[in-house]
Order: sequence, then C-alpha cells, then structure tokens
Amino acid sequence: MQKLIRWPGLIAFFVVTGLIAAILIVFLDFWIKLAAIKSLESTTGAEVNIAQVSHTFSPFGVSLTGVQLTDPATPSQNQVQADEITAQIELTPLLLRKVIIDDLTVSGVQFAQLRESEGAVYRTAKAAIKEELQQAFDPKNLPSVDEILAKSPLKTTKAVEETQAAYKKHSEILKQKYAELPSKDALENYKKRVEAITNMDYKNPLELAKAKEEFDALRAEIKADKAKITEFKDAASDAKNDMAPRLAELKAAPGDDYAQLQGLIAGDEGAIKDVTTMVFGEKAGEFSQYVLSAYDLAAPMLAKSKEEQAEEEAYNGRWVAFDDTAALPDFLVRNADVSVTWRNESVLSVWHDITNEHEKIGRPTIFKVDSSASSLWQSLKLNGDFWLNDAGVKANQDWNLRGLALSDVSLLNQEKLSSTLLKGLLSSSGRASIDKNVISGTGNAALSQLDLSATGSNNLTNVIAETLSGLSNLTINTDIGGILGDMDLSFSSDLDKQLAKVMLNNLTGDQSSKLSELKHKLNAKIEGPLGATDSEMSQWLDWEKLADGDLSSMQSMLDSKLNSVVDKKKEELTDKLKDKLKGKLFN
Amino acid sequence: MQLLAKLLKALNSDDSPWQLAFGVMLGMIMGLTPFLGLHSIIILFIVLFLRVNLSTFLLAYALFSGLTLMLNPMMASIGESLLTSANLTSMWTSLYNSTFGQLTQFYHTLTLGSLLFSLILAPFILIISKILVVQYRVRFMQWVNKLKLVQFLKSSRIYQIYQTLGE
Repeated sequence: MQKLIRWPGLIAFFVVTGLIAAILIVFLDFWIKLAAIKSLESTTGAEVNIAQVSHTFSPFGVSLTGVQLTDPATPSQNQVQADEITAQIELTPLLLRKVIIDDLTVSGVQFAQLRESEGAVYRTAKAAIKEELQQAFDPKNLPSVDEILAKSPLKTTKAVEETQAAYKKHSEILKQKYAELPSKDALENYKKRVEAITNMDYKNPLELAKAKEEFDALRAEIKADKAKITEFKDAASDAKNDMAPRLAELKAAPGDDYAQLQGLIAGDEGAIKDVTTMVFGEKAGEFSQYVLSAYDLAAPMLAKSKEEQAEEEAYNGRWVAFDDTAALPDFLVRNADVSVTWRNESVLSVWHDITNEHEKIGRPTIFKVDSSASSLWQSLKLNGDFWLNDAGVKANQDWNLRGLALSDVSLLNQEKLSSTLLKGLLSSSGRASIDKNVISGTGNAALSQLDLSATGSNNLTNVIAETLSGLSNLTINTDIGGILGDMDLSFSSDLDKQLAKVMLNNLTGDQSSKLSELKHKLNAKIEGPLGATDSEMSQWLDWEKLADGDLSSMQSMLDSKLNSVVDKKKEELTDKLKDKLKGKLFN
Repeated sequence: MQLLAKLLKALNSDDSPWQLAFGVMLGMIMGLTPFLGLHSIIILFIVLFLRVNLSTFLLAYALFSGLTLMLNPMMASIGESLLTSANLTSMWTSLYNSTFGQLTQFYHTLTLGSLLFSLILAPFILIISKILVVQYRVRFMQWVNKLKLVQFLKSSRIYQIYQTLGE
C-alpha cells in the first residue's frame, strides 16, 4: 500500500488546489473586469475602459466604476459613460451561466463626453455628416451653367425626349395610314362609275339586276376605302389629343427648370438645402441620441446572431437546465434604474425586463422617463418598449419634451461659417418605431425665443449668417430612418426656402449673367423640337382636312341609290300592267 | 525541449510501466475535459496522492489538450444527445437536484460528453501505453540513449534538474 501512496503528493494536492482557488478568488475582480471589457469591446467595436471592479458574495453582486465606451465614429469621445454600475446577480442561474440581475443601478450616464486619450477603434465607423458636407459652403465650388444643365434632371430634357418619342410614334402611324388612303384619281373613278350606274336607263330587268350586282361590288370597294380614311382620321385625332398636352408641357418646362435651377446659380443649392442639417444637425443629432439612446442598449444585444451562438455552443458546449431555471433567458435584468446626467441635471429612467430573449419571458422590455419641471425644462416624458427575436428588433417609442432652456450652444464652428445659439427654448415631440431592425419615425423640434449669432466669411455664408441672426422661431422636422446601430437622421425646415429667397435677392453681376445664360440655354433646348413638331402638326391637320373632304364625298357616293332606278322601273311595269288590265276589263 | 527531457527521464526511470501508463491515461482524461470541474480535482488528487508518473501525466495532458481543437464539437454533441434524450430526463433531473450532481457540472454538454468519451477511451489508452513503454524499454532504450541528441539533452541543465527532483 505504501508503494502506491505518495504522502508528499497529498500536500502538493492541497497546495495546488488551494493555489488555484486563491488565484480565482483573489483575482476575481480582475477576471470580471477582463470579461466585461472583452464582451463590451466585441459589441461596440471600440476601446472600453473600466476603472475599478468590486464584488460581494452575499448577496452576490458586482460593481463597476468608471465605465467608458469609446465612440467608434469619434474616438476622442465616449459613446456612453457611466460613473457606477451595480448589479445584484442571482447565484443559482449563474451556475448555468445565466446572468439574472434582480436590480441594476446605473448612475452618472453621459453621452458624447471627451475622453482623456483617444480610444482604439476595432471596427471602422461612418464618416461624420459634417465632414461629408464641409465643402458645400465653398463658393468656388459653384458649377457652370453647362455643368448644372448636364447634372440636373431637367424637366425640359424630359419633355423634349417624351415629345419627340410621342411625335415619332404618331408620325410613323400617320404616314403609314396616309399612304394607304385612296388617291384623288381613285375617288374620281368611283364617282364616275357611280354616276354611270345610277344614271343609265335600264331596258329590262335582267340589265337592271346585272347593274345592281355591279353597284354592290362598287359600294364594297368604296366602303373599304372609306374605312381606311376613317382609320386615318381616328389616328390623326389620337395624335392631336396626345400631342397637345405634351407640347404645352414642353413649352412650360424651361420656365419650371429655370425656377428650380436659379438656386444653384444664386448659391450652392446643396449648401442652402442642407443649412438646417449643417447648422442644427449636429446638436439635433446629439439630442436625438439622448432621446433614442434606448436603442443603443438594444443594438449590442443583437450583436451575436443565432448562428454564431450555435457555432460557439457546438465548440464550447452549452448548459442544460433540469429545473425552473431552464425557462430563464441567458441574460435578464428584472429591474433597472438608469440615471443619465445632462448639464448637471439627472434624468432617471426606469427599466423592466431587459433581455435579448423576449420570447422566453413573454413580454417586452419597457422603459420610461417621467421628469417633471427641472431647472432646464418644464417636462420630459418618454415611453418605450422593445422586443428582440430572430427577425430582429420590434420597438416603439414616443417622447414629449416641453420648454428645454438652451443657452450658449455652439451650433457650428467652421472657417467659413460659425453659429452660436445664445438662448432659446426647445420643445420636441415625436415617435419612432423599429420593425425587423429598420427604424422609422418622425419628430419635430420647435425652437422659440431664439437669439442666434452667426458669422460668415464670404458672400454665400454672409447671407446665411444674416438669415440665421434674424431668426426668432424655427421648427425643425426630423425624419428618423436607417437600421438599428446605424440610425439615419435627416432634418428639414423652412429655413432652406427662406435662404433661397434671400440668395436670389443678393445676386452678383456674374450670377445675374449666369441666370440669363441659363434661361437662354433652357429655351434653346425646346426651340428645335418645338418648331419641327409644330410644322408636322400643321401637316397632320391639313391631311385631316383632306381626309374629311374625301370622307364626305365617299359618303355621298355610298348614299346614292340604285334602288330608286329599280323602283322607277317597277312603277313603270306596274303602270303598264294596270293599263293592260284596264283595256281587258273595259273592252 | 523540456517535454522531451521529461519524457526521456520518465521512460528511462525505474518507475513501473503501469505508473507511466496511468500517467498517460489520467493526462488524457484531464486534457480532453474542461479544466474547471470536480473531475479535474479528483484526477489531480489521484495523480498527486498515488504514485502516478507526473511526467507522462503532464505530457499526455498537453498533447490531448491540443486534440480538443478537433474533438470538442464531437464530444459536445455526445453530451447534447445524452442530456436531451427523453429516456434519461428523470435520471438527469434527480442528479441535477443533488449537490453532487451540481458539483460535477454534468449538465454541461461538453463536460459530460468529453468525460464519457475519455472514460471509454481510458482502458485502451492505459493498456496501449503500458505495452508501448515495455516495448520501448526492451527494444529502443539502449539505441535511443546512444543518440547524440539524447546525450546532449542528458547533459543539459534542465535534465539535471529533473534528475535531481526525481531522486
């Protein structure tokens, strides 16, 4: 027996197992930190920092302090950061690797905050709107009239093309049908033949019957030719009806195009069109980010597809439960209080049932913000829910913000145009929904009691700056689109129209001559087709008149009756018969 | 180099072929199954408390751990089919409700599958290892010891340390 046992080995066993247990327990905070960072980085695609992690065994809980998630689109900023996250985790499901959090508290959540140092990005992000549109303010980029005409989808070009195509179609049909019409000689011949038959004095019934047969054949010939003339007339009428509105459209098209394109000459229409986005987009986008930040929470939950999960389970195995915990999802936060800090004001949001397996719990995740008057706003209400399944996300959200006081908000700070909102009141309401990861929704932001300061550095931006400075109210409409994780916001307001008008009233000499050139070139585009079509149309009208004449003459030929001759002969024969009878009776 | 030195030392030692073979077998079980679990503690206890050859245990552990890259999906599917079998549900449920059952982590597909797979393989590995060790000692030991590489290894510092530890 002694040969089999190694007594020092027993000591070694306790030392080794004790050491492993000690390493696991002593460095538990470190393992949790590593696991949390790895998991968050794989979902956000950018550096994640956690300053400190601590845990308690009874009740089992974890606390993360100083959590920062780098924004992959702007690595110098955090997409979101939190001062502290504490979670009370149920221990039994944890043995099955199911994270069931009874109470989660997230405090000091802030969005778009500057980082101490730029965070690493593992997945490339979309370029910022500002960079994409930065060149638009440069008046050097104003296109020439020819470039505008070449690039713009002109009504004139479309009308010319459509008119020419319609004209070609009708012209071919009419020419073909015109060629098939009976000649003048043929009509004259018909006339002579009809006269010959109808004017002849028939001596006996046989001759008359033969003449009738001949006349019927002639009538059939005339009828066939008449049908051809009728067809031509119908085709001419169709052509006229079709071409008339097209020609009217063609005549009006240069005027419409001119109205549309003059903005391009007056300034860069792209710049004018996007002034709302340029000036207010960044801040409005930032604000929308707050309002729609719930979806930022939902997006990472979808990061791991069912396929990926199945692949991982096939390699690493999975935990099978044989009790009530089987029905639990892998991750569930029953109740959560998330406190977002904005301008030293704390907004509390209450969440229930945060999970990525809603089908297992049979209800959606719901969240709610109901903040009464604060030093910054009169009221803020936000309600939403989301449900994740294999098809993606299904979610609804609405918000209503009243009287948010804004002051000293730098809207735009570029070389050519800078703008600051000195003070104003913002009210916003809207609704967004997600179906199968596709986001749709609308919102509006009404800015009132506005005091804006803006400065430009060239003709174009000076006009924009002047218009902005004069604004006292503005309503910005927001269209929410895109897909989850890549939300697309577009902004519009009547500011764009206001600017276009102002621009047209501030034209330089060069711009005025460009406008004249534009008008001239647009009119030139329709001159050729319009002239050619007009002359062809008058020819069609002439043909139609001729066909009208031929048609009435043919009709009169068809109307002439051989029957009258037959009737006359019948009467003559009747009279003769009567005379004969009278002679026999009275003699 | 270290692994080769360990193997040479073990093969050339006076340990019985069974000691070496048990080392290989237990190393195989430890290598194929997930590291954290009750089974690992039991194996570690057997290896350290009983006179199982540690060198062959560590070598087999390293070798079979590498093989899990290929074998894991197959072993996990064995566990999956057993744990989801309707006939066995009542047995798994009663085991699940016992402390011992919870500690074994049998309800993890890979743990159950790999443990079962390695236990089935164990007697074969044990016998084959024993035969190979005996055959090595009879046929190849002297020839191998004459190889320049082996002589170099034997003169190396690492081998000296193992030699000392073994005494």
